[in-house]
Amino acid sequence: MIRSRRLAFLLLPAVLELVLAAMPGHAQQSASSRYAFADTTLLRDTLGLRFDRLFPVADSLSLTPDTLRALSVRYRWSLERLVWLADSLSMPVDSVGVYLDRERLNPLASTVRRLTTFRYNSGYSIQRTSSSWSNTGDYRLVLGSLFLQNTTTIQMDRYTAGTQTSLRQTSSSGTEGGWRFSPNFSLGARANLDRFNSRDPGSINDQGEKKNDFQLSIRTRQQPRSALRSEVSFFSGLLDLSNFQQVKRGASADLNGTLRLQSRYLTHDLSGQMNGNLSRTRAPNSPGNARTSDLSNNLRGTLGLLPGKTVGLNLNYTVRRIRVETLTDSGTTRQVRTFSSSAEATLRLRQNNDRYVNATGRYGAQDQAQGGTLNSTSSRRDLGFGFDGRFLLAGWNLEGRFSLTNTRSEYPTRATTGGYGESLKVATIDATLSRNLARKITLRATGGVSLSSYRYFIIGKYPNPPVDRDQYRQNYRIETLYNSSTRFNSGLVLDVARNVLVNLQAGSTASNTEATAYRAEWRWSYRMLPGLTATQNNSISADYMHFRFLPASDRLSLDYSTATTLDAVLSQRFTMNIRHNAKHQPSGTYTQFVDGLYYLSRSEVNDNYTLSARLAYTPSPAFSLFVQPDYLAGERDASQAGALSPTRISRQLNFSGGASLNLPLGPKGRLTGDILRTYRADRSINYTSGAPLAQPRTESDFWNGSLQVSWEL
Amino acid sequence: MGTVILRNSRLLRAALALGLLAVLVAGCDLFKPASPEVGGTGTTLLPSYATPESCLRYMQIGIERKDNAGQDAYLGALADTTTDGWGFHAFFDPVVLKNYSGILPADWDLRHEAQFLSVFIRSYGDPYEMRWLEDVDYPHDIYEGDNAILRRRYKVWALREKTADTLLIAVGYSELHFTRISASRWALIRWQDRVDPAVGAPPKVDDEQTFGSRRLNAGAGG
Repeated sequence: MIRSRRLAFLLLPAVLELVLAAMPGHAQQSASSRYAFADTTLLRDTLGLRFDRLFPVADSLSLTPDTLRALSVRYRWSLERLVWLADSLSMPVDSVGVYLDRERLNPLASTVRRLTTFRYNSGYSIQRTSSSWSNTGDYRLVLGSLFLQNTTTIQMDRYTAGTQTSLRQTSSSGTEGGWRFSPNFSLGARANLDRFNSRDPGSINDQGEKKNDFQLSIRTRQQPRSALRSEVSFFSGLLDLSNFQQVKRGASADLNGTLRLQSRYLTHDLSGQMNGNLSRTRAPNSPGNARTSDLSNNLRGTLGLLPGKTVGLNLNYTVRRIRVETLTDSGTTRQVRTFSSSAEATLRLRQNNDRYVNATGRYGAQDQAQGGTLNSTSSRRDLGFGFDGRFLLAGWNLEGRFSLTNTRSEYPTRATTGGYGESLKVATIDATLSRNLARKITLRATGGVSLSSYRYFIIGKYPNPPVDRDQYRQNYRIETLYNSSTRFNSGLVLDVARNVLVNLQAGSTASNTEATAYRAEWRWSYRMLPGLTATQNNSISADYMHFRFLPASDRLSLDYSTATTLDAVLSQRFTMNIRHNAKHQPSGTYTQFVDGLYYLSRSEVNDNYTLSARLAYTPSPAFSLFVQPDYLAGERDASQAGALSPTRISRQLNFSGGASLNLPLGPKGRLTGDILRTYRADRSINYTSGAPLAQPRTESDFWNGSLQVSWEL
Repeated sequence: MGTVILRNSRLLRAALALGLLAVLVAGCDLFKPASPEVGGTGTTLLPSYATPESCLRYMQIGIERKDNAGQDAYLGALADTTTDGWGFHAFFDPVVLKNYSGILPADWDLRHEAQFLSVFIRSYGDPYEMRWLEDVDYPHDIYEGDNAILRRRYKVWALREKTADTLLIAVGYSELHFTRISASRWALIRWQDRVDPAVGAPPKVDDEQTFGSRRLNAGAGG
């Protein structure tokens, strides 16, 4: 004992080094039990980014951690920079990237007198039967008040099936040039050119679409008060569209604007757009034409009252109306109309991030009319309210949600004589309770209940509408996590769910079911050596499927699985990862025997084993080589004449090897991505009436991966 | 000591509030499913979604049966966010999207699929036959833990009784992503649809459309 303590003392510097090396991970840990069960795989370092404090930051922003991480990766910004930008721009974190991308192309946003930039990105990805090559060029020129910008994208895709190959080519180019008369007004012209070409060997003719939009552009910006800003832009010109179905020529216009009011007690963001065209439209091979017009209106707003105060109100609303006129086969015009609107108001009562209550009310409406007769119209109305909140008291963290939603949908033209409608009521309630029971033990318990009630009614005459039904679900989950030290942790999970399907009409109750699923899991992770960590996950699942009106069909499915992983860092440049999975899955009917107990009568047993490894050698941060072999073995036994006998044995070997690149190309270019060669072989034996029938081995090997080149002037 | 009493008092009040809420919610019968009618139980179709292959089989049976039990069997193979924690989403071939002149839905989910299926099985009055065929370029299904990717070619025929022949009404390629929900249930979460190059878009025969094309043109976009 004394010797081991001395040894432990000697290892202290190494442990300290490891603890310090794991700083990003440690930054996520919080005294709160709320983040104890968070998915720490999200913290893995990619592209040189770190995700310090991911879980608390995501929690405080009401975003999921994976969304926040995805935003960080997409725009290559650290979490701190994302939050700082959102704060300085006074907008939600998920709007920052979109806003900055848009503003980059807004001539009024430019503050420089002289600028020339050119960016080029090219990406090539290849899979076994498809490949895609995209090229994007982005050019900007500012000479005093004069500006010119162009963005061009060309993408080529190939899909192969058997000996046939389909080609798709999409290209678009947007060019705008003009004069910035003042920081608040610019006048210019723009040309938006879009092309789409498709070639299928079996098609009657090649597909193509050509769209040209030449427009006058006017951009204005207003700021009558320091708290009020707005932008209004107007584009108008000529439209020329031709594709397989129609040739459309006419005039188009687009009016859009934003309004932002920001004061201490009130914020209001409003954006609106109205665009459309007046055209002459004809079928490609038809001389006659018809007058058509398309119109789209879109209004969206967010109102915040008393932001950051104890009591506040948020209101999101949107109204959208679209009308499109198309040609029918007979040459007449057909109108497709959609209208949708929604509003959601949330009253916030918030003491801090650990204690708050939100009350939310929602309304939504949608109508669609396609023209014609069958299936041409539909409508939907949603009305709902709910509460959610969090309360931290005496170390217990309680989160809860309750919501009630009524939806009414109508499909009056399902048949020539009428249709049907659906009334759906959904009630859900769930709660989570978590606490650090001791310094090293954390508990989390989750429970929830929901009921969805579907009721149908006839509109006019309709022969067989769907059957009224209720879907009920209740579940609970208890998790404990034991963190012994930085070297060892272990967790236990018990998960129980009950799903009940109730078809109400007598003639449809045969398939009424009650499914109860139990799942227990034990996992542990142990760092055996500074560079070697073992992780194991063991689980047992049992699904009981009970048919209320056909008890003889009751089924039971069991699943025993274990997954073991060894992660080894053999040197600074060489890592190895080995995984082994084993699954044993018996299933069959379960019936009550004379002793009163239920027994499983196995009708099928599946056994699956996987052994896989990944070895990576990274001689420099710019270049990495890896190989990844996988071996899969599967056996299936099924009941024949009352006894289990093999029906299929299969073996599969996959072997992939390749390289990952992150190479600088001069001072302003970069090549990234990975490319690999995959070999796959498969062999199986099928049994017919107990006699084996060996299938020939099938093999394939192919290149796959993706590479991107970016270059900036 | 005073802090402990205060904490206990707060805990008691919080527990009382929770208890009161639970009683209120329970008393409203908000979470009590209705009782089914007593009588004949109707036709029996007991689908199994124990493997991705069995999901495909009951989707096929669902289309061929064309009745309510069949529709339930088809839709039961798709992930439902309310019960599975995953949702179903269908994606389209770009050329199918270009050929569609109506207003595109923002996302094709389970609700859209249910409406489409209701329309599709009534599109032809004749019985249907469906087959999931091997994609010769992808003979191996990919299983990675609780996820699986199956690539299949599909064909649906209307078996015309008047002319005693068959009419191909749906044909294409699909990349189908499944996830394992529980020991006895897999569910389809993603259907990437693709035009068969040998058929093309638009096809030589109007009826030979992909599922994606039929989805968009079923008028179920709302």
